[in-house]
Amino acid sequence: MIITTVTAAAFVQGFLYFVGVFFVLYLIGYSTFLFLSVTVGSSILYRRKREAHYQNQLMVDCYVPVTIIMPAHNESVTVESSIRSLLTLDYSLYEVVVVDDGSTDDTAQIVIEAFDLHPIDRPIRRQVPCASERGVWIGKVGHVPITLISKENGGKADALNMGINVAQYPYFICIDADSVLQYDSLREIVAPVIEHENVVAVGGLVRLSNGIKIKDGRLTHYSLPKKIIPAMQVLEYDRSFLSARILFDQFNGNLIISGAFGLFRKDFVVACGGYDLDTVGEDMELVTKLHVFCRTNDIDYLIKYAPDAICWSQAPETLRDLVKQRRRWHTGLFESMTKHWRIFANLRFGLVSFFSYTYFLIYELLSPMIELFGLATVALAFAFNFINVPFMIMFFGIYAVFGAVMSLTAFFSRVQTRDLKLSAGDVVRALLLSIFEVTILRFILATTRMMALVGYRKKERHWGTIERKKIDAEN
Amino acid sequence: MKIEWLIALYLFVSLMMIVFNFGFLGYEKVHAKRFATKTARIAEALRVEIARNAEFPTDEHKRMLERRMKQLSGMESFDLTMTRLEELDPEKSNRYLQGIGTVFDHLTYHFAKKSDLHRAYFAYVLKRWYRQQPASDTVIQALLHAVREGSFYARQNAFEALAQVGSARAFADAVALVERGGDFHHPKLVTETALAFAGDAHELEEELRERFDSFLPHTQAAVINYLRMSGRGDPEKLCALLDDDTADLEVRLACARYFMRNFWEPAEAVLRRLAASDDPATWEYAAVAATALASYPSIETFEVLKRCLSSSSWFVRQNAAKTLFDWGLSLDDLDDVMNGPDAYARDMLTYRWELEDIGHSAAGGMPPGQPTATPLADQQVITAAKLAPESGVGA
Repeated sequence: MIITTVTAAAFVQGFLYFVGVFFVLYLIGYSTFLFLSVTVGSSILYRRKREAHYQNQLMVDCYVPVTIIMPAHNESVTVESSIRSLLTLDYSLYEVVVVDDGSTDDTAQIVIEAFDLHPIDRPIRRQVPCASERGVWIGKVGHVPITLISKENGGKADALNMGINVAQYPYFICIDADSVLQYDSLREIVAPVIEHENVVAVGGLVRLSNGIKIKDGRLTHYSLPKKIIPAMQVLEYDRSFLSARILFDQFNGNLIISGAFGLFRKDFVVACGGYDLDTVGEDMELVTKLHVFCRTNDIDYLIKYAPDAICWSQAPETLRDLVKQRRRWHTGLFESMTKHWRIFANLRFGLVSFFSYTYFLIYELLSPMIELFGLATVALAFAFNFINVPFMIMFFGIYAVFGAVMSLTAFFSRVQTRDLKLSAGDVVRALLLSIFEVTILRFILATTRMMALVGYRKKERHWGTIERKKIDAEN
Repeated sequence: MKIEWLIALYLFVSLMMIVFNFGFLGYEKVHAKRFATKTARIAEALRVEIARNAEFPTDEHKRMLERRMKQLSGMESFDLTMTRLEELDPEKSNRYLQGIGTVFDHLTYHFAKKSDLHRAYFAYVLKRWYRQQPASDTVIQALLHAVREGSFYARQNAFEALAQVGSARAFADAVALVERGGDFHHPKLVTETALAFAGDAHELEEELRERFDSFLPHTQAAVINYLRMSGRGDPEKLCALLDDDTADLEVRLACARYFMRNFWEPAEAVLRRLAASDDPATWEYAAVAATALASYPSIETFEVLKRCLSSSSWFVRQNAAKTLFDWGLSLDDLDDVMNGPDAYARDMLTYRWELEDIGHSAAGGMPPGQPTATPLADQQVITAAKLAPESGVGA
């Protein structure tokens, strides 16, 4: 009996040793990535601020024609204000295409009445697959043409494909129906196309609209959201999305352009077959597909990130909605990564493979399992009394402080480079929330993401249903 | 390495980041305040000095100005002060600026050794406030150097400065240099900057004409676009380029667009030939030519456009339908197509007429079937009545 216990203890000890080594390497990798992304992201934001201050920016009117595609499904609460926000953008040549994807509410009717649209028998050039249309309406507000297509329900990717088929211009932007574009966002998102040759896509910066006020596309009041869930997401967005994407942008390695705001060259997207109808993460899948398409065909290309192009989007305000959203995101990540698994450790893809894809695989796709496995191991070690509790607490404490400091650095560098004014209360809240985010929210989301994989079913192509509120935007 | 050391390292990094965050926050606040005070002080000193030296800036004043403007803050203060002064008294500000031209010459040597950010800002300030005519060779050479070797913004700001202060020859040199630096410079920027050229446009046209054949195709297209938008250019040469099947696609398309805006009768036959092409590989020529033919109404063209309505290319069909509408035809004039076997052609015509009708009724304008004003504003509009007796359509 004693021998058995000793053998089991020795086995557990050996197991824990290897787990310990693995986690040390894992955390070194993650911490280094976090540190790199935050420092590179912050320094680039500061540099851009200085450049813009000293007129190192495009000043001549130089426009490429752009179609803004807004897919909508049961968005009657926000669709009108979102479209209105698109009509006052500081840009000369663009059109708005709203795709109503089989809404069961009065989304289409609201758009028709609000913008005085007229029905038209429009032939549609089907370059990428999508469900059939029910009707097309057109109109014009000021100099901006608006087209509404009501179609059979087919999911967001299907609606975006319909938008591509209807788009008149060589570049298109996809935005969510609950989003508001900043007045200069089109100029900013188009700037990389003017500055560089062979840009096939540009990602914009998605910021959370909870707690802010916008007038005519301009931010008039900024504060952290009152509720904890969206407030924590503000920190998370700055750390994980803004900084990481700026880092990936340094070597043309971005694998994601947020579905809430991205610009694409239409001919390339059409050549790739458009948005994939079989994934819920159509935004990531398209960008990954563009990498694969261009590299496979030896096409010189750039996928850029424009942190000055700002789109305001609503964050889920309840834990339930947040869990639903993240579950969908993680399912999409899983589908994209498994569909394009050939990128993994493939020399043809260079840093896209060895840095971007590997990062997404280890620290995004598999991280919930790794983190929860880590917690289970801690419990096991605790059961066998192999754990040094004060050391463990110190380790977690430092891990939490490190994560929180990185979040705060990303947050403050954004606040400072955008000349935003934070109240003292918001600064204190940011400090507290950053700790709460890395300790509590992170594990809730890790569980959620793991459950997304456990409960994964292919072809789950429904729209996410998150409770919408009117955005505080005036025109 | 012991794990404790790693933890200590990350703890250290965290502490440094905290110090950086709060240190930078404090620095920003103090710096912003100091910068505002300094700028206000320099601006006030400049205002007084400028007021005192407005008519005849003294050498001492110029030396003081040069000293101040070597700093970015001084340059910015100068920019702000001059903006204010120009609003208050444009003539006085202009006289003063003409008197301090040599200051910019001296600053040119200083900024030539500085970073791209400095050079780009200096070029911007030159663009706004340099008034010496003709511009000194020192300034022109420095700007050309920036066009050739600067970063994207330094290049573009210097390019714009040359459009503002340079001669036609200097600007044409810049157009040649901007494509030879090896870095991409968008043709639209070349066109837009050329359109902003402040000197003699006729001279610029001559300079560009001399260098045209040495430009790369995308620069040639940019130059043709400039000529189109400024209503200049040698139509004979451009028509020959349009007709040259070996010429670059972008160049020929630019020529086709040129003749849409600048009517020249001999171009009609070439445009018609391009529009009539059934080769799917050359649909872009057919599409642009179908639009350009809006300015060349005739019976032969009418027949070609009707054939275009049955093209395999969506864009060719769409553009042909738009041109026919812009000519002022009605669907009755096109009854052979409307009653013909090609459903795609019918759909496109119906759509175009509906679209324009909606546009007109929304604008409270002309009745359906009438031409839109813009594309044919300065062209002869062919009407159904004109076409009908000769062609038999619209009867």
